Amino acid sequence: MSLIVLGINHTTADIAVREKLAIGERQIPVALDRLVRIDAVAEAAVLSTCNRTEVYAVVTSLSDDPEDLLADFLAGWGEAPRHAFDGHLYCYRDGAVATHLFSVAAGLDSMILGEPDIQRQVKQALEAMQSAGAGRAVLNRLFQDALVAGKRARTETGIARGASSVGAVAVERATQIFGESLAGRTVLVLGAGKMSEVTAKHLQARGAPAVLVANRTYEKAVELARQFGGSAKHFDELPQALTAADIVVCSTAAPHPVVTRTLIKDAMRARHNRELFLIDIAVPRDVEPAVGDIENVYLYNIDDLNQLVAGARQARAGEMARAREIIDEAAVEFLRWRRSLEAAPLVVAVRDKLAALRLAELARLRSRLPGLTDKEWRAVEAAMEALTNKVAHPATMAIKQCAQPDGDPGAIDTIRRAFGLDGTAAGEESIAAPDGVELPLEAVAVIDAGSKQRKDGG
Amino acid sequence: MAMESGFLAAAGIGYLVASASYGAHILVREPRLALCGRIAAIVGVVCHTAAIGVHCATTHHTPFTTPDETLSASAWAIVLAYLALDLFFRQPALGAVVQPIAFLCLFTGAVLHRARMAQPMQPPRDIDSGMINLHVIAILFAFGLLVLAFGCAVLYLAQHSMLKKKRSGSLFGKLPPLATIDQLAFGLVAFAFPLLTIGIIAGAIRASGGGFPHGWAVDPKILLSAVTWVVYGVYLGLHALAHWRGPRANYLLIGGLLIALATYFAPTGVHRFG
Repeated sequence: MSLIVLGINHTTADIAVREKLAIGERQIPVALDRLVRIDAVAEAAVLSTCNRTEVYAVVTSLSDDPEDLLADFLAGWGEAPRHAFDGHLYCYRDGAVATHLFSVAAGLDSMILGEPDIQRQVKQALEAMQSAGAGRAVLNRLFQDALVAGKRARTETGIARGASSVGAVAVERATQIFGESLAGRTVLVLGAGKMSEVTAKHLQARGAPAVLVANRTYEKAVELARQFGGSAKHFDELPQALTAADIVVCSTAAPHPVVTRTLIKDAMRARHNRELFLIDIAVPRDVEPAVGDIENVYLYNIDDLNQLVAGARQARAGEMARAREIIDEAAVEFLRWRRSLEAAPLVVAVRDKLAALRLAELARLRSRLPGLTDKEWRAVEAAMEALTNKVAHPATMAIKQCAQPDGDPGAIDTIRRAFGLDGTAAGEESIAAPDGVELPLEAVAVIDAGSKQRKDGG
Repeated sequence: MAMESGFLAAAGIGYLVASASYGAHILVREPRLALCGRIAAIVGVVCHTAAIGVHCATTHHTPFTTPDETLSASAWAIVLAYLALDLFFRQPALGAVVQPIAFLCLFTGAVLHRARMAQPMQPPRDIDSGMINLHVIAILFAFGLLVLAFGCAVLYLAQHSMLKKKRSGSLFGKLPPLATIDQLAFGLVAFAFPLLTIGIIAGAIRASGGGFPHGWAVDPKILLSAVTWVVYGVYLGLHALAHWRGPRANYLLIGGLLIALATYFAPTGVHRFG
């Protein structure tokens, strides 16, 4: 069984290629159904966001090339030839899958480092997989561990701290002046530019209920005010609007400042010195720079905001190393669990094999030595059981050692070969009775139990 | 005596741990650190209360008959006022400013106490009268609240400076919002001012009641206490009536506490301490 992910993201392909492989939220159950119908696919999950489409799968040994298998699936889904995605797809296997998904969940793989939405999308992928019945032990655990690792990376490091857009910086600063909730605060949008609209939406999302819009063209002000559920003002009502507002977003196309120091000084007097936050995103500037010197007035222009955005992004990047440590730690833990999952059926198989041989030998002896008393038989049985246990013990210890993260995974194959389990998948071992002697019922029962456990565990 | 010292040492450790925890909380914003600070402050104030109780039971005097005892009692009042505030407004950043002040008061009190114990003991004068107790208790709690207002002013000015300079330093986003901290400071002074007034009036009544030399009213300590009262009165008046807020109002709060401290340490010919 191998764990594999095949995907495409914003770093390997542009939108024109990515959109061909996009799997919409409603299409995910269909995609999962198609995936699990493939014989070699034991488990499957799909993570599809605007920046990536990734297919996670646990593939059995029935397939020689799992990567090829998933690439065919994706090409089929995109209804395009395989070569259309040459050089755009990436593939990780086993331990690297965990490291990759955990990084994705932490937002380390996102366009905006540490962005929070990816955590929800990973959770959605897990839920879709569970409701489609496409995941079992491995992928369930992988996605759950990814959510935990992502959350840890976000809370224990600064990768998610700091605003990463002009709108977010404006909100961050506003909350430092007025409080976490902007409820009860009034936003004045000066000019009807797209950027001021976006910024005002950010502020309104934080609870600022009242939005006033003032524009030279009154009709435009009315239109924008309707979008916000606010009220439109004529441009000559600006002094009154400045008295009422707490936050002012300016983005007019005026060639000279429209908000002057005198205007704000008068407004501050009228508003009893309440704090005023001015966000000037217009170029040329709408607000006279000297306004920033007035007490209780906080003025930010577009350069100030862009600098803060750049600073926040840089600070987040500095936290990446710490986040990577958390992710590596979680990936090692996942690997340890996965190895133990693989080791358990092998331990059972070795013990089953020895038990079957013991029972077969006992059956043969019973036919050859009919004169032994019950007491003598019990002694022979005990001796053979002790012998097989002594052989099984070091083998079990060696398998457990291999299951450790620093263990040698290749040694598992050696042990498998040494016990004649080579080349057989879990549940497929054939144990033939020596010399054609029919196995007693107990031996069959032990083998059946072993096989069942193997199926459950694998 | 040993029991009182033990409780005081435990209180000191509690205040120190609270200072460190609140300070670390500001830097790393880990909620468990704020909880640790709160628990340490509670343990500290409980031990401090026990020490005061033991002191009263063994000496049969109030716990503010000497300058060192008054400093220790000030620490107790500051932490008690902070914890009371913390019940309604969770402001661990304020804890990071006021807990170290409380610890310093307790520590300085302990150092002064040790120095005093090396000198021959003087029997306390007539200091346990009802009016003196009212004077000291009212001023102690007013001082506790004014230290909190001072803490608010420090936080306000730090936040204001970061916002004006458009910086995103390591403290940004970890201090309370300006509007919140300004209202909190005003509320604290509004509570402290009547207590300060009662304390000063009680002291004046006691002084005019006899036993004080003529001209006690122009003693430097008495005069400075009047200046302190005026500064906070001006702050309240300007804030409420002239809408004074922002850095100027907060500088006034810082100045007010400095004058209050100067009052405490000012030389005096008539007051008990100094």
